[in-house]
Amino acid sequence: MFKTYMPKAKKRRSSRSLRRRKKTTFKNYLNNLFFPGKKNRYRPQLLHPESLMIVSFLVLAVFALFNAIRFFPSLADKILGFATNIDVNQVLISTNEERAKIGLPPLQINEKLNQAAVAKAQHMFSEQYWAHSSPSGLQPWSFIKNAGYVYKYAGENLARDFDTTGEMVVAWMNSPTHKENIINPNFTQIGLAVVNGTLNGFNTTLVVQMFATPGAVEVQKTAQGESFTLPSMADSSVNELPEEKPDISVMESELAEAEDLGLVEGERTASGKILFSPVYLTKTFFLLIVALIILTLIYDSFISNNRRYERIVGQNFAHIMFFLTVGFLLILFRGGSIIP
Amino acid sequence: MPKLLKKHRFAYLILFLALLSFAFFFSRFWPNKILQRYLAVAMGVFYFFWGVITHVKSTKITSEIVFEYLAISMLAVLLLILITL
Repeated sequence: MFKTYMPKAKKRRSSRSLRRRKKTTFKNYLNNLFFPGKKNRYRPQLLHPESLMIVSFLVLAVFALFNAIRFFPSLADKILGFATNIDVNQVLISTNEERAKIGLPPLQINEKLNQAAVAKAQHMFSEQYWAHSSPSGLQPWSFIKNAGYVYKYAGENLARDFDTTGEMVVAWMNSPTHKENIINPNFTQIGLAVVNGTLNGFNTTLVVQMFATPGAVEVQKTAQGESFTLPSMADSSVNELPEEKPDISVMESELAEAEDLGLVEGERTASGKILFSPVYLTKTFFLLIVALIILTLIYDSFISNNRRYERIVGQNFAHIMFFLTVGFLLILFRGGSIIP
Repeated sequence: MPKLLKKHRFAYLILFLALLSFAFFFSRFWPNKILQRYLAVAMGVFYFFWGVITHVKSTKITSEIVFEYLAISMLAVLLLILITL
């Protein structure tokens, strides 16, 4: 009877060759993916339409994963943190700087308006909405009245998820309705709130600005009460304002004093540090994808030019231009949103 | 590459100007993300048709090329839409 016998040495050799084959397979796979050759019809596999579709699905999957993390607040706090560096004092300074640019006097912080702004932010979190009016029809003015403030004119600006105060104020100034509130000469007082919370399953930072001109009753109350003085030109139009521009350094020192008036900043996460902003995490991943495709296109152009491949494929130079634009837009993209 | 640019200089000029305009309006529309999304779709559609028309004019077009432009446009639109969500 014939019996096959395989010596130990041969066995060892076979496992080595298996490993080598695996290495070769991986190398071949990479070659096929990035290097134009006979196997991939002289075009890197990554640039084939079917591979690009797979990349699209991969992008969708990773994006869904990032969003899935946000739905687990405890995990999201650890990994993502709150994506904001909004400073409530800076909001006041920037708003007054915009007013100073056109010669308007700075807005004064009012404690009751601060309370109204906080109440509005907390109401949006508790009722889970993102709008000027609540789903039950509650108007922004209700919060001002509930805080015990009597107003002649009032306005509200809302913002969410901005990374910095500067970006947020620029976004408001780009929007005609928000800009109108900021540079409205009728408004003399302001209330501010920056509050963190969970809105529709997402960690969110809401910023509320409540602008107002006190009514006659409010002026009387203030005059009788604490030593709070109202600007003398409360109801005047822009034309009637003094020509002299307010001194920003004086304004800033006044604002420093205003910190004691109780500007309200919401609770931060336990650590208070931003580990990864969701927008930046997504942006980085997308930029990596774009960079990989651009580099593959450049490499493909270089190899095909050198080896003079004759092939009918899309124009690499146009693809590079297109993806460079996409990359540029991704880099320039800023988060945050406001309600028109 | 210079030969290609010389051959299709008008097409590339249109592409360059269009991409520049898209980039300008995309940053200008911020923080209106809805408009940014519309612009991203418009950019993808434009690029797809630009690619197909350029290839038709040069009489070198196959279904694979059409799919290549389609896949590239779709990927770009997807990236820009997802970032604005």
